[in-house]
Amino acid sequence: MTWEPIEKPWNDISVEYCDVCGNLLIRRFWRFTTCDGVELRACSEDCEGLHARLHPPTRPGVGRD
Amino acid sequence: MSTATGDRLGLTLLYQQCVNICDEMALAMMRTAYSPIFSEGLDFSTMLLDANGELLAMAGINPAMLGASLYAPKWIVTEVGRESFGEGDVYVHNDPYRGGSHIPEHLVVTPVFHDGEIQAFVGAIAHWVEVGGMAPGSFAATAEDIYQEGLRLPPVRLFRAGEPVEDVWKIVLANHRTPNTTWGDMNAMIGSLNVGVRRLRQLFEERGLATVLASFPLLQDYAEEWLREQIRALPDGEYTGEDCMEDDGLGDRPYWVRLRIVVEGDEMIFDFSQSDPQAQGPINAPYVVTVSGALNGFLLLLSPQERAPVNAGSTRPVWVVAPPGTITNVRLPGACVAGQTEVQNRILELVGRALAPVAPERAAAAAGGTSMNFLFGGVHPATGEYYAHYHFEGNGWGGRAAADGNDAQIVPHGNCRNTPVEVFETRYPWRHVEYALNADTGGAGRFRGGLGIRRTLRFVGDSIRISALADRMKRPPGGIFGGADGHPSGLELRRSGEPEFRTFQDVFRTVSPSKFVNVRLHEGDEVRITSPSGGGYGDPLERDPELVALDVREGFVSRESARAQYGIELTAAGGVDRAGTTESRRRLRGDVGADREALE
Repeated sequence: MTWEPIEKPWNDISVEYCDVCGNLLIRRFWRFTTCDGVELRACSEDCEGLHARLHPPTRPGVGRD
Repeated sequence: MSTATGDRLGLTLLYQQCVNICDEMALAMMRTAYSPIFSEGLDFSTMLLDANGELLAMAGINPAMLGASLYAPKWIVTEVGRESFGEGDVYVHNDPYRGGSHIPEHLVVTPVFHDGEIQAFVGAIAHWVEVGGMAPGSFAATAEDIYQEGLRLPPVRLFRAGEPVEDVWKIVLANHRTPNTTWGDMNAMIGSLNVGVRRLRQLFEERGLATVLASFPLLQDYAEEWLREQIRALPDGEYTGEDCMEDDGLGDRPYWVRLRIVVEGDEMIFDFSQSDPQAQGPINAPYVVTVSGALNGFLLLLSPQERAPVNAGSTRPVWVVAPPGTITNVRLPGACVAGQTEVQNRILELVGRALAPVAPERAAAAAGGTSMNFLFGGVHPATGEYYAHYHFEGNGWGGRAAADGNDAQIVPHGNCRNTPVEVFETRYPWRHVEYALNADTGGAGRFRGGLGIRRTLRFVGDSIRISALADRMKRPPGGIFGGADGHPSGLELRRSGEPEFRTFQDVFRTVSPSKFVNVRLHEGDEVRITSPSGGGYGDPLERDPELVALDVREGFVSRESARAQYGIELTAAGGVDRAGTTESRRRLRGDVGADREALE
């Protein structure tokens, strides 16, 4: 769970999207791992919580501390 | 308010002062613009932003631009870096893939320096009438990618230290069909920014810089808290709805927007994950347009008596999920010019419809739901110069719980004005043959749907190219709670010398009746635009008979419809025949509940 920069040369005009809400990623992204072990890139730290609300753990007990 | 506090009265006063600055910026733009879409249509907005580009306040003009106002300035500042902004710099961009709504809408932002540092930004966003691309008016209904829609600008400096960056201006002006109009409208926007900078500095001096800066986050917190209160008033639960665009201009299938709203305590999730994949044509919405539709849809449901700030804080209790590659979040290089004017309508109304079961007193039947975008361009016979225009049309809004739908009004999220006939005919080679409310078309209901219009234009030049991007031609706006559907839209052509109007599909074999580009007309040809009428709210047989009689007297409803749809019998003088009406309604109801009929 960390902020990471999007390193691109100035002539790269591609765009990237948040894996959770679909918003654009601008210059950096929030990297986190879901309770199912999938690594995702998000536009904000809050999107990690949103992902957990939209996709609750598939197995009982998974993701609980 | 002399100090930064969180009290709502003080914050409201400060917020209104910020909105007044935005309104004055808007006035400057309106009065100095070249194109009618600015000066008459008011298709723009103005805004104040904090030092990070986060929205503080915007003019109460065009809600459609809310999403772009929330995201585009922030992303410009993030992308180019605040350190890149010098005093007197102006950045411009219109990129839907960087927070813009669609290619024609351009955002300009400039920093507000005070005590040698950037303390805030001011911005203006406006729809330019012509930005190049495959069709005059830059609403290419058959575009298959963004590159066909016009000149796309990433954030670039338009002014550096108060001086124009000529290289950028030359690129822009060389790619627009009406560069003089672009020049005038762009300078109107720059003038608007100058007003904003001046007024914000005055605010800093009057109230003290530290006090005002400390209040900025409080304004955003206030917007957040207020919206959380509104959400908390709704029952927790899931609410769903779906609606469609009839076609994408390139094929003959509908594209569905599907919404699931999750209300949990004081937060809402607007989930569009089940919406259709993005279309090949331009009926896709960028993410910010979907956000705009969701927020506007909810804000429209709230009490107008409880006005509170709408700014960056408004997004905190609201989540919008729209997977890229769907009609609600276009993926590069998808075309998307119609997302703002058409799809945002669908989203906005879906919110109201989905929440109607728990907020029936705030819900409304469907409005016309299309901007009826009508574009044209050519060489003016009087001046010999190239002209182009983007025309949008008023339509009927849906009936509400306590009032009929508005008539001939631009789409709810647009809030724009129509262009007066005199201005239209002075600027462009058309003459109006007819411009009238389309009587007898509002969806019947306890509260009737508003009427659309019928406008017939005769072309009086030599040759012109026209395009259209509309919808609701195959599916009329729906009624609600037993109200009847409204009336669909229409676009027809009568060739000079021919007796009858025919559809463009019939004459030109266009794939879609409502979406086509670059059809060529000649002198004497006539175009008839019929905008849709709104759906009705509630059972028509529960409508106050006196209101129906008034509708008949004023020409909104015919005597025949009054009888057939509302069960109203009128006297020769136009009054309500009460005995006849009781009997007529009893018949229409099939005698059910006739004894409870009480017309008095």
